[in-house]
Amino acid sequence: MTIHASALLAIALMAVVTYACRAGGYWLMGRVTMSPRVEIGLTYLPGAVLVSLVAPAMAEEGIPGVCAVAVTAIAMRKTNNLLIAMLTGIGTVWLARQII
Amino acid sequence: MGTGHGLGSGFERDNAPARDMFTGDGVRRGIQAAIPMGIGVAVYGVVFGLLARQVGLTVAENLLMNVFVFAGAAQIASLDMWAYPLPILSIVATTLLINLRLILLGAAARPWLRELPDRKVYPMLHIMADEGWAVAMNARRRGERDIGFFLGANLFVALCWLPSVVAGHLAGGGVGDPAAVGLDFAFTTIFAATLFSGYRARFDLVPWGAAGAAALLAWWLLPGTWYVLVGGITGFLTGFAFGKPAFAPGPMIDGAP
Repeated sequence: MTIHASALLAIALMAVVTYACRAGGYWLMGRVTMSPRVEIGLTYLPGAVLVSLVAPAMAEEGIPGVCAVAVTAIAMRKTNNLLIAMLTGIGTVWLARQII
Repeated sequence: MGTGHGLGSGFERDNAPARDMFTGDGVRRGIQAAIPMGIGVAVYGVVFGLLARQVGLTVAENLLMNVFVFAGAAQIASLDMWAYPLPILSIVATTLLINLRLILLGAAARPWLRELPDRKVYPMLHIMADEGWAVAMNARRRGERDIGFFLGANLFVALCWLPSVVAGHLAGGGVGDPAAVGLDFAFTTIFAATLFSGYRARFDLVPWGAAGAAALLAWWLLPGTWYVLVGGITGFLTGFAFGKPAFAPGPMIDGAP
């Protein structure tokens, strides 16, 4: 169970900046009066973050990525089950990589 | 600050919190909803544990990092730089940059969590990570109001991550390459599935499209993971400017998309 001093320092500082980000956005929104428009904008934020995580990953992967996301969309629509949609998407990317 | 505006609960005068504000049942629903995400997280926890061991983190250091930092993407980036003497400044700066997106997560969660007192919210925010947050915020779009759900989903993800990191570390080389079976794409597919399940109206495609276009552009032009921040803010601003106030509580129209 060894812990290096510099590793401990690095981990501590990483923890501080990370928690600051986690708490900071919540804190910040409490400092401003939230207009109804801001609240409406915030309801679109989760989707926007998800799109921003998915789109570049898909582009980086290329055609298998596009196929996998499309199949995931279809699977989600048909089954409304996250696990099935995820597994179908993973299967598709695996398959498409073999072919392409 | 949080002036109590539970929708339609303006007449409650006693100090007891509204019944459906935070319930054990909500926690249970959150855990259940996060199970698929938890599986993906667990796979990545094993991979992280393995990588951490390879760069020379001890089990204790690995555990400390995962308990106190608990931010997978930033931690993986830090492992890239993990060689003694540690470039602490670079490690911390990179961690900060990658985790700036968490500011957006907390901001978006405020309208939901502010019904709880700060002393309960701030500790809870420590375990807020993309995966559990996405599950919870998506459920909220579909009518979920119980803050217990938010806790349950995030807690479950954290509980999937920690043991699998330790397992990966202890297993050492005995873990296969997740890319060989497409598992490296697991998060993309589950984030995509979560996104699609949150689809409510045709207008959603406007902020989503704007976010996607901005994210792709940023991914192409900027280094690192700025694209998440750029896309997220673009989506927020689009919703802010053109969004519809049709966010009534209660169950959404079923069957969407």
